[in-house]
Amino acid sequence: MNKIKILTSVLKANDQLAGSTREWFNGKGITAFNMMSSPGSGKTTIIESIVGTMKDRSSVAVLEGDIETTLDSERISKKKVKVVSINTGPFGGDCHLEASWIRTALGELDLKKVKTVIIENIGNLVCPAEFDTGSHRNIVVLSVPEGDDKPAKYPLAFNKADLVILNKIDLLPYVDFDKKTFLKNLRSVNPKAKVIETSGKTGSGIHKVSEWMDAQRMTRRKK
Amino acid sequence: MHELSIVMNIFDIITEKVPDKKIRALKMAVGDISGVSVEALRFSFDIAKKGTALEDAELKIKRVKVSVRCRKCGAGAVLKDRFVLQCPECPSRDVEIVKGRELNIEYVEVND
Repeated sequence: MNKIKILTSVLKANDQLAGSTREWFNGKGITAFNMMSSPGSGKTTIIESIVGTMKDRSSVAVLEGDIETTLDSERISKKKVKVVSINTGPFGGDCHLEASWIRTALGELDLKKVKTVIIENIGNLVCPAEFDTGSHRNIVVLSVPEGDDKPAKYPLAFNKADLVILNKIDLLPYVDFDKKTFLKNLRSVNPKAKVIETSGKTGSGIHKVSEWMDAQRMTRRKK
Repeated sequence: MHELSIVMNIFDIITEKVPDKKIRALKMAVGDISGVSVEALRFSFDIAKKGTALEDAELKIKRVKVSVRCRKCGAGAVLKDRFVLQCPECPSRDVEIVKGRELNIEYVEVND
């Protein structure tokens, strides 16, 4: 038998495409954020609130990833921002967004005035973390009812986060979520990520997320 | 959950690199934090290989443990059980993941 060395990463094609998407964003002065979480953590509500605070809504575009339905895109489009729905498949399709989906979706948007792209990844804490979307920053949303152990259970997603949004903080008195344990678990897989507490319901903390996003745009512009 | 599409990617890469050959074995390196389930990978491989050049191929998998290196003191360690970013020598948590994310095709075996 004859051995033929191949030595290649299976995700290389995705990584290369994601890299070129990032270059493309850079060329247009766009900053892209990839938002990941489990289903029901409040990603869409947070995005609605963030774009709600924006003065110039023509400068933002949202890519809505879902296995099925355009429900989230319909919600976002009510905010008068550009939105594209990415449905990965009617029969329990892909559990994450790949770089190629993002490229296709971007092609459907008029991005002339756009400076910010928000990618709402498929609700899933496992798979999206493996696939580079071409974004500049990763945001992970965790809602307190999900439990303080999640960073330890899904280390890869939390490891990749630049920002962790601790959402539904208004429910803290009613659930067994210990902030100290959460932070300990988070720091053990990610020593650096910024943490912001929010409530999609009351709107508390949302302005801090917007400020953080602005700061990321500024830092990138200086580079 | 997405192992089947990963297997399809693997087949595409092999067909491109080693065209028109009957593959006897495929060796993969799979890191512990690659996010891929080895069981699901094997399951998907057995389903997807029918009618392809890999129909009779054996899937060999090498697991790769997570290795870290401290950015402060340079100490390295292989993580035994849990994925915890902590230098084995000093108190620093500023450690780099050097191994464990692999999802690599190493080689294929073909008939002479």
